[in-house]
Amino acid sequence: MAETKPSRFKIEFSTFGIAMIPLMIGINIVSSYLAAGTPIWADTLGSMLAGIIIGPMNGLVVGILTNVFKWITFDPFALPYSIVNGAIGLIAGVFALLGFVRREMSQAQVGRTLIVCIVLAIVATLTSTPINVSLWGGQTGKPWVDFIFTGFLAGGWQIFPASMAAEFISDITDKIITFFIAWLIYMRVPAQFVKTVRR
Amino acid sequence: MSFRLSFIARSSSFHELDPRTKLIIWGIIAVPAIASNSILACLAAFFLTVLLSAVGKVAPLYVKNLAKIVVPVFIPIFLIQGLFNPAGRTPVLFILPWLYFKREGIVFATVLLTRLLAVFGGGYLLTMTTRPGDLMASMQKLGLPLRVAYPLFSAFQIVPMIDSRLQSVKQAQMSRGLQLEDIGIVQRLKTYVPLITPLLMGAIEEAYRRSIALEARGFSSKVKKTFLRDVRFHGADLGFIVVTALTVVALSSMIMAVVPQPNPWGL
Repeated sequence: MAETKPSRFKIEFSTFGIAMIPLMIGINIVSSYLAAGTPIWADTLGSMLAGIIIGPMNGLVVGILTNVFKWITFDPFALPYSIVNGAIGLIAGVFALLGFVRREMSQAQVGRTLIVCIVLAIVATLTSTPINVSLWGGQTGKPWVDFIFTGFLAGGWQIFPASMAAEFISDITDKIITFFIAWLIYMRVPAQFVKTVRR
Repeated sequence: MSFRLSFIARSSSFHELDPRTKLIIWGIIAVPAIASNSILACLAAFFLTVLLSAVGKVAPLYVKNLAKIVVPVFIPIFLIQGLFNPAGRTPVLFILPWLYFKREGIVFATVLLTRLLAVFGGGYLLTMTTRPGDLMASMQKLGLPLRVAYPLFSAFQIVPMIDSRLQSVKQAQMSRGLQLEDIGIVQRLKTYVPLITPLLMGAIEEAYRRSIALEARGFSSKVKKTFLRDVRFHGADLGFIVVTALTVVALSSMIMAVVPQPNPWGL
């Protein structure tokens, strides 16, 4: 079942699109809350879904505002990471527009989803490593990732490449799991709801 | 779910300031901390934010909350950087003959910690002493469009609502036999789809209702919006900015004059 691609690459600034943003911020927050204790963050699920279902620019806004929201509420250090979360929403949306994310269960689609996951992991690594290095000396805050980072440092690597490599390993895990969840959810949302969003 | 506002309601002269003033003060304090590699300069800047938090009557909470976040992160940072920082040369403390803390790594970690406190302290102070509504109003005065400010502001009501919906979805799915407790990581990740999908559909319906409610109140109207609580510059704002700027200049030049730069301990 092929579906029609959404035609716009601009922010969905209808009142409906705006009203969706805080709800997707909420999904980002509860998703990262559900992931506590697992090896992943999953804090970009709402941004990805917003990017796929509404549009890339809305994914960007959801990602940025999620971290601004965290900054105002409970995490004084969340602000710089808004770039990372925003970039994830944007890129997920762009790939959805390019036809990489379809509502069909096939081998080809699983392959396409995997490609998006890898691209998202690269984007997340490139955007978050400079922040990790300048703020935390290269650490990420997940013990298993910091363990890998320490291993690279003990092996004689410099901080930036060691942090980038550890970040990539964690991001590829995080983005594969989170984006596959996003895609599975997207497939399960009845078409009529997706149409409501794109009306 | 650990969700609460940073904002602490107190009646203080610092709370009364225009949020834009606090933004400027944040900038003034952060500049020397970003520009210098001196631990003392960063500490002085952080000390200034503690002083300002005392003016805002939130000093104990301010220090406690920052420590709660920073301490657990910085113990591993001191360990990792002290032991393994690639720039480390000078031994300070031996654990094993081949494993020892090095001065360069400890200095790096200390500069990082003090700078982080100085740079983010001012921002935390801003969110701690500013009503979110006032922050939104002042951001709009700085040029943030309503269509970005509204979603952020309404998230304060909507995020707790989404969280309570998640609890209902959890109970509903558990009553249908979905296991949510005492399960492994893979099982937990699998529960995402049955938990988040209903949440998303509920969100789409909710957004539809809200967009009608917003339109009924003239959200898309082009006329200039007014605020229930207005933020304005007063004399006190200027006073705070001038005093902070002078203190920062005085402290920085004092440190530069007393401590030779650069020095081995990064002071």
